[in-house]
Amino acid sequence: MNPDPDIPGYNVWNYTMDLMKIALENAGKYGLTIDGIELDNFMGRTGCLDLRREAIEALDWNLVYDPNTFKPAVHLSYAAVEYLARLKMWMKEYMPGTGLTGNFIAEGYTNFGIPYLDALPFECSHKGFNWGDEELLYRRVMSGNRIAIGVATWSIVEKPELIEEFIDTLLFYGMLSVYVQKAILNRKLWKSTVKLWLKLFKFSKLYMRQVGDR
Amino acid sequence: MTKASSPGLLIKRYGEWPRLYLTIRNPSKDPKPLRVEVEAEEGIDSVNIDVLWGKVEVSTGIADGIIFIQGEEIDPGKTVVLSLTSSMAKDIDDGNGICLPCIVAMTLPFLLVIIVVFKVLNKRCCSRVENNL
Repeated sequence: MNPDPDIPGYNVWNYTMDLMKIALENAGKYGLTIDGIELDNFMGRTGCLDLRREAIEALDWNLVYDPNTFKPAVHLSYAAVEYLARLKMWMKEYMPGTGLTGNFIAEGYTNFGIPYLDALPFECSHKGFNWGDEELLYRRVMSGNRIAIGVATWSIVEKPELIEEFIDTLLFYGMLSVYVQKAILNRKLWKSTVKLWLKLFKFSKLYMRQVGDR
Repeated sequence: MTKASSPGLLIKRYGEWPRLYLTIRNPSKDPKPLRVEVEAEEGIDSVNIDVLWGKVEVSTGIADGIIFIQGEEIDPGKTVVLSLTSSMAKDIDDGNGICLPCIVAMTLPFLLVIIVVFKVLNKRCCSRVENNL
């Protein structure tokens, strides 16, 4: 799907605005504040070409070409960057002081969109998903001075004995750790690891302060 | 650029002088003693070291522009996070968010006011009692 906000008709941008309108209305109704937007996943499906004429006409960035047919095309990472730039501007006006993040699971062409993120959370697991020296170093480098957070996927959550190793590994790369959303409600899991998370929470306060100082 | 090395251990350096952070990891299957050397910036003649993460006792010394950090063994797969603060950074917040001199400076005037008010009221009260007697 091409996320360029200038694509004619009802597009990804229109959908985003409809969604945000409902979210902000609901939050207001219950006296809540939305502190940011997270895109899940982040540019994970933008490694494709869009050959449609309307896509080419809508793009404000450089065109590429299809190496099989040599026809001009839009690389969706460029379209995604246009979407991110528009979203960031919209947030500045309608959600001031909030942050934009994305589940940073894809690699390579996502680099074009990373500058628009305020923090870089990403799902990972010791089973090899976004794991290991190269993967974590890449995410560390792309995060720069921003906060990077490894989100423990279900494979880690099922084995609480591995949580300590998970946290320790990510700390080495200057990253914090959290559980996936569905694990947060698992009381048994929390009970077995609560001491570790409290320790990490104490450490995180210092980490956040140092990142904020830069 | 400050260089840091730690034979047999993985090490990453974050931050800049006057405060550096070192994350040290033992990637092997055997415990390894903590031995780290860090280049000191010119003018630094002493450093403070704090263990922010991990259970390890550490000591530090400086000679010929090199900071030596020694400590107990790090277990396999464990990470230790250290904070190095140069002697030039005495005014840096220690990170725990509590500034004792600030708290004393803020609370002392209030305490003095309360004591004075108490004394005055107490004196009046005592004089009334004396008059009644």
